[in-house]
Amino acid sequence: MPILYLLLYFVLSISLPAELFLFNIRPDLLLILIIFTALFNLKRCIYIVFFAGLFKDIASGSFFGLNIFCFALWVLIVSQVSRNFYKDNKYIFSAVVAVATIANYLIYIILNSVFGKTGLGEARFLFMTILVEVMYNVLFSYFLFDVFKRVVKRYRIPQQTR
Amino acid sequence: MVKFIFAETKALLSYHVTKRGNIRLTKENFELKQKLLDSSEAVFENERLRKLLDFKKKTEFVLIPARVIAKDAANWTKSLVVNQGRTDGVEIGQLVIAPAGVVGRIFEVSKRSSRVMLIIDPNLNVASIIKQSRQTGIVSGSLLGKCVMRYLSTDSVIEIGDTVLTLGLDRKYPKGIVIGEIVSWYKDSDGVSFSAVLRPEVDLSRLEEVLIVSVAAEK
Repeated sequence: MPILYLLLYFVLSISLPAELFLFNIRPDLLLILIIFTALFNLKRCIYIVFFAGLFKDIASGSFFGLNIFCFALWVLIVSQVSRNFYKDNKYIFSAVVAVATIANYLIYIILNSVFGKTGLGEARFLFMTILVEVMYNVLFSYFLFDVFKRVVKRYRIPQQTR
Repeated sequence: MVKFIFAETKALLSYHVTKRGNIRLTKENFELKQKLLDSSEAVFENERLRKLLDFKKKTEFVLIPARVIAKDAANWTKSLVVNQGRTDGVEIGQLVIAPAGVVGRIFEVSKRSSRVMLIIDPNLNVASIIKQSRQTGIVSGSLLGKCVMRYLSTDSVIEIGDTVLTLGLDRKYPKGIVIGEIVSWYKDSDGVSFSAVLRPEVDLSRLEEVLIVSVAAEK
């Protein structure tokens, strides 16, 4: 059953119409999910991360493998860092999602300038895009936190032993 | 009284028949509603395709019609996938248009599908001209559903509502195709040029069919 939920979530996150949201910027539901799996160090989270990245890479026009790389990186960092703070707090979860969103963009900006697509457009529009996406991600992560927690509790998804 | 009892008894006896009839009619009603929906969808599709056909007849370019089959899932790029690929004569760099104006450019081609970078993607740059004042600049996307026309000289006469067209300096971008309409403008931070914000003429959120301009086979 959790796999079915996961698949539904994957499909929803890549098929969510951008037109529903302000400035045509949609929340990154996959990023929110993988930050959650990393924060609580869920068992088999690496598979979730890999398939989430693959789904997003297939459905987006940027560098193939970029999302797999970014998601794996955030899982690695977040699961290491999460030992040092109280993770059952929604605000901390939202803050981690916000940082990961900004860092995702930074990686994209670096890769885009290194691997030679033509440009990134005007800085102010890029800043606006990041700002709007961070706001959406924070908002959605705040509400999704309880949903994820309930699913984990209901299906007794185990955590990895360190 | 007798009449009432007779009618009620008859209704009770025919309950199952009425129930079956009700189920059958509900099903029929659902099917008819579905058919009506399908036919109205076909009418809309017909209208869109007629517009494309009319445009195809009027224009001097050889066009490949394509259907939009997927849209981008990321916020940092704006692209869509169409159902025409290498086998249909699509090549990287070809312009993609709709009857209203420019949609974008082909940047990835596979055997049976292609990916189109939309005009609102900052990676796409198109040489362009303001129809009214004949000022030239470069149009690229802003990711926020708008485009920006950059490198306009500071003595440019820019009016809100002016139309921006493709300049057509190379064979990949035919001249005179509408890109959008100016909604605002500002002086760049470097102080040596103006930039204008455009609203794309094509409603990219409702795009279902597009035309790919075939460069190799221009009439």
